[in-house]
Amino acid sequence: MGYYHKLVNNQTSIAPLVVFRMIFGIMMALSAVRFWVNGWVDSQFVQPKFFFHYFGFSWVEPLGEKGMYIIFFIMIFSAIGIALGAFYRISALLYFLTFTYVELIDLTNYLNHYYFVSLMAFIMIFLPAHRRFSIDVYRNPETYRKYVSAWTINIVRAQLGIVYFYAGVAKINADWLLNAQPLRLWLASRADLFLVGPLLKYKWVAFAFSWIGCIYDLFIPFFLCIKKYRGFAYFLVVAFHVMTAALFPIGMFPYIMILSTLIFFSDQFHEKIILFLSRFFSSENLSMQVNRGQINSIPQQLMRLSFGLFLFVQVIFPFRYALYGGELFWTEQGFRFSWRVMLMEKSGSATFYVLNPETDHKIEVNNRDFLTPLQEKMMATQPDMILQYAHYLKSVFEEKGVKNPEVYIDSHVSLNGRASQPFIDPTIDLTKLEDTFAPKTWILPFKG
Amino acid sequence: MKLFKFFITIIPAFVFFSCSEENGNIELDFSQTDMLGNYANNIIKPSISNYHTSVASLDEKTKSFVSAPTEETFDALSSAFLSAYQNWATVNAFQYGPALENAFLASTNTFPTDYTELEADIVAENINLGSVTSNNKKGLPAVDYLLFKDGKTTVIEAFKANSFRGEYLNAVVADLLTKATYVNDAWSGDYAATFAINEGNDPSSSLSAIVNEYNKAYERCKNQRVGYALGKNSLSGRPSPMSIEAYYSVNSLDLLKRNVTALENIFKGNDGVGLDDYLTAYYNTGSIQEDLSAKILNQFEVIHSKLDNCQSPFANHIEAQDETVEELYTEMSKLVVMIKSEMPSALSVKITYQDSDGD
Repeated sequence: MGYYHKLVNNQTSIAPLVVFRMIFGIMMALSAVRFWVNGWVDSQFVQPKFFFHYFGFSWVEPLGEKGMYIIFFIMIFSAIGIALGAFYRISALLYFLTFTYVELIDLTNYLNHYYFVSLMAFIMIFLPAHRRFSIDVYRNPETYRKYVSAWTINIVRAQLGIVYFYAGVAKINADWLLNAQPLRLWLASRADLFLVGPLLKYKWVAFAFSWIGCIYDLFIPFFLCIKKYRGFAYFLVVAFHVMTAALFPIGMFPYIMILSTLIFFSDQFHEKIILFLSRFFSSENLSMQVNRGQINSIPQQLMRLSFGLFLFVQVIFPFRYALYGGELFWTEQGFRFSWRVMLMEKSGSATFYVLNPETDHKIEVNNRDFLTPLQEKMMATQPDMILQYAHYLKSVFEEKGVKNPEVYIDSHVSLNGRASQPFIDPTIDLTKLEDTFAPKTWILPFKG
Repeated sequence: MKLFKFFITIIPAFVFFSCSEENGNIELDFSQTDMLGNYANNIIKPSISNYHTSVASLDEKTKSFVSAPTEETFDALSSAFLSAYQNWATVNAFQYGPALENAFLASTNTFPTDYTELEADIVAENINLGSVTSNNKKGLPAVDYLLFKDGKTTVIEAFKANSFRGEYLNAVVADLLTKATYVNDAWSGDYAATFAINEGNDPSSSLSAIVNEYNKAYERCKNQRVGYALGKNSLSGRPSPMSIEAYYSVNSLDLLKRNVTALENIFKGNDGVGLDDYLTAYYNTGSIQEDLSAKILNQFEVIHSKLDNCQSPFANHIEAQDETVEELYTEMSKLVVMIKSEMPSALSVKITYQDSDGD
């Protein structure tokens, strides 16, 4: 009970939470600006004619060009609101809603780190992160807090720890550890890289990166928790993420992680940051202290319980793949939302045929007519997306006057350097199938 | 601090290891620099220069024909046209850099030509080749139509009868020359060197440009030069033989063969270091499990053999809808999987033509 009390109810300095709030807000605002500047709002939410839906979220639709830019505008401003602690709860809620809405529009864009951002943004809504060094406190000094319950900081640490640990667990597989795949493929092509480039052509480097990456992910959250090792562990965090940023096109994620993991540091460390920042933004009366709120009120207890459940679900959810047979990387049943990052080099080609039963004529579909190149690439290796696209083709050709069109696929996928193999049963009319959580028997078995 | 000591000892060990086993442990024995240099200097630059020269000659022959439409000037023009179209097959797959900047492909070879609109423009004495919508009224396909829509004598008479016809032809060829000159100037200037040193595999790298445009060029071969005409993508399934390349001059099959050969040569890097050697290097290290390079070259052989079974005029052969063209199309489709899925995967190049994050 003592340990539980220490991690959950102990009154501890609010400083780490305040610093994290600013980091998160700033990084999220920058991410959204970068997304906009890169022209991705247009290429990913305006240009596509068809959007792949998440299971149960087929009602989520994009809002058109103007609408999408307004959403991004709100997203950027609410992220800045989080950073400044201005109208914090509303800002956090708006950020969570706009970001998650945008991610739900098209399954094509699924990335583990977007999932991470959505979860973190959700958590932030409920944390008292704005109760010091914020616009809100400046506006209403009464809301100032020096101490918060320990769980409000530990939930963030736990979320970060889950991301690392499960990314490590996912790396424990034969391809990664015994064949150093896909790193052998990825690293060898980066011999152009400054300084480390010439090293990357050696086979042992791919093996070393694979093993070090796996061990790092599994143990780094624990070393970050132990005061004695924290400094060195953080040095590894920086080294690891700078390396991945240089090697792979993973955008802002490495920098988000480098800054987020600062939350593992001590209260004093964060106090110093706030003290340093208050030289530029002196908004508060540091000596003032108001103690309010009861840690054992019913809403507080409910919230703690809910977050307990929230973490528990995350701990078991990645293992749902075990309920399905077959090779996980091949069928991708239970693959998403499980922190399986940078694990596969998977590519495929999918040619669809629409059969007009009346004339027996098979029309070969040019995917480029309906999908963006990115959508086509993602669809070709993911069975649930293949099925959605097949249903879309059915509706398109019905509109063109084909009665009861049947849709067939000729598809090949290559995984982690293997020769490509037939992927989906070519004899099955895909329009007769529905996407469910049941095992997808129409995926051809993986030959290894 | 034990952990720290562990790393302190292991890092120099790695460095030592890498120095001592210089040859035995190389993952990939391949120089991208050599390959890109070969592509830039020995393949792309000379091909574009050849194409430019042939278009300059086409321009010259066009002017003499238009000023004096005779059988003699027509024949000279006709062979200059054929040579330009044949050279186009060798630059078709290089639609990046300067070519992309001035819409080289769309303005040079958008077919089928919209002859109704083109004739209407001639009647209205209207030349507008600058806009995007004019792409199917100009370029090599428009020349193909203007020179070969009828028999030689009829065409010569038509040019004699209406001088604006000649003006239109002059303008079309002048436009071709402008585009070719722009691209050729860039490649014979700094661009070849810029291209050759742009290593790596990200979406802005030269490798990515080569692989992506190679795929697009191949799919154009398969779809525009065969599939569409076969009715593969149409609702009715009826063939539309008039939609193939060089329909009027009846050079379709020859050009198709030249396009396939050009793509095969690009894959091989002609006699130098090419994509085939890159894939072989990966295969030799065991990081890809099959000899993809051999598989691709073998498939090119199969396609060549199917092409040899086809007959000119290709349009008639397509209309006949016999097995030969179907087989050709099937074999051409098989190559798509290899070059669009397996090759980029082995080389870690993204076939998306657009930048995006991964995780």
